[in-house]
Amino acid sequence: MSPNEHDLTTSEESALHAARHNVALYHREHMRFNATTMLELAADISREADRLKIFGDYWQRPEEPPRTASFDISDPRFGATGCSDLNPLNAIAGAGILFMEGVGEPDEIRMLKEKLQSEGTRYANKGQWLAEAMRMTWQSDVVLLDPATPDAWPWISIVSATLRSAKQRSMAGSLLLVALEYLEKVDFTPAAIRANRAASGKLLLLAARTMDAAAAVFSDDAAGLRRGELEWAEYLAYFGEPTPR
Amino acid sequence: MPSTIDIRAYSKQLLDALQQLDTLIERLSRSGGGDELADIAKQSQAVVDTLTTTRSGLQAAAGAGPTAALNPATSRGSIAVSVAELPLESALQALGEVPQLVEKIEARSTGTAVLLVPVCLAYRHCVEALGPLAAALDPRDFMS
Repeated sequence: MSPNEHDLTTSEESALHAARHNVALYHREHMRFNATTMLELAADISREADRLKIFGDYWQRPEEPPRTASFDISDPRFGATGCSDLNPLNAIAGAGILFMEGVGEPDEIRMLKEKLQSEGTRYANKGQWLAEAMRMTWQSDVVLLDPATPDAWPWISIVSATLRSAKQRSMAGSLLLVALEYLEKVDFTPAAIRANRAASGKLLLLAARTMDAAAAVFSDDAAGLRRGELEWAEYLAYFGEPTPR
Repeated sequence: MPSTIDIRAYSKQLLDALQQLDTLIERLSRSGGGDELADIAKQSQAVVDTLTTTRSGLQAAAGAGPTAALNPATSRGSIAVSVAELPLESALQALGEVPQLVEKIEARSTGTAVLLVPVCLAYRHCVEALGPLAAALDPRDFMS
């Protein structure tokens, strides 16, 4: 090796070391944000699932007698009247979903479908992208798993955990899309639900349980990321960053 | 659709792998290398074989992933095997480094501590894989 080649190698190694230091510094902070985001998402999806369960359970029970006199629902003046057989009165304030005689699919159901579509697609795709990035990072950085560099070993654990995390995110996104599939099978117009009341309720419960599964995966992902905090701190110490322990 | 019996079989394979990994951790925490290295590599390969079989089984049971099945038990089993498979790529990836590490240790006559990294990672990921399967075991399926 000529002196120039030696300088180049040293300079490349130095640049690579600086890049790894940068990645460790900035991505630890990003990991913290992501871990909290996953928890928030898990909580949000759990709440949405619980809203569906209220109606799913209600539609599978025997119908209760109407609380008010019946209306001629062909008269547009009565279009905003609540469907006494489809809405569990005491749960509406919490669930925020209201079936009205003349409105068809409630707006809240439409918004939930949009959320499942957007968040499901987002996490299914983003998880796949991150998983591929982590496979590449493993290939390039597994060199740090060396008897001579014990202070860098925590990075190997971080990459390994992040690959699992990425796949969890992708799976949680896919589960949200499956929940959407269940909801798409339901015709949410009052007449259609009345014709298939129990079957519609069952589909709502299947969607809700799939959302519960997605929330559990998001939550596991968040917990796994949080458990990695110490490994990030140890790896940062490899670059001379202060490590409060 | 994976049955409860299938789910229990995958769980048992993971428990076997965990037992083998625990033995490896015990050996590595005491080993100074030398003659034991070849045996450690062999034992690690046995875990790789077990986990590869388990992962293939889970992937086959999961198919293309969870679908909007109308039978709640089908949906539950399908989600369980799909989620359980997720950490196993990381486990196998980590154990895949053991042969190269053994070569490095032999070539440089260094300690074996570095081998604890992939082995402990595989242990961690196997525990993660076990959780979703254990949650899907339905005691009613075992009642005659």
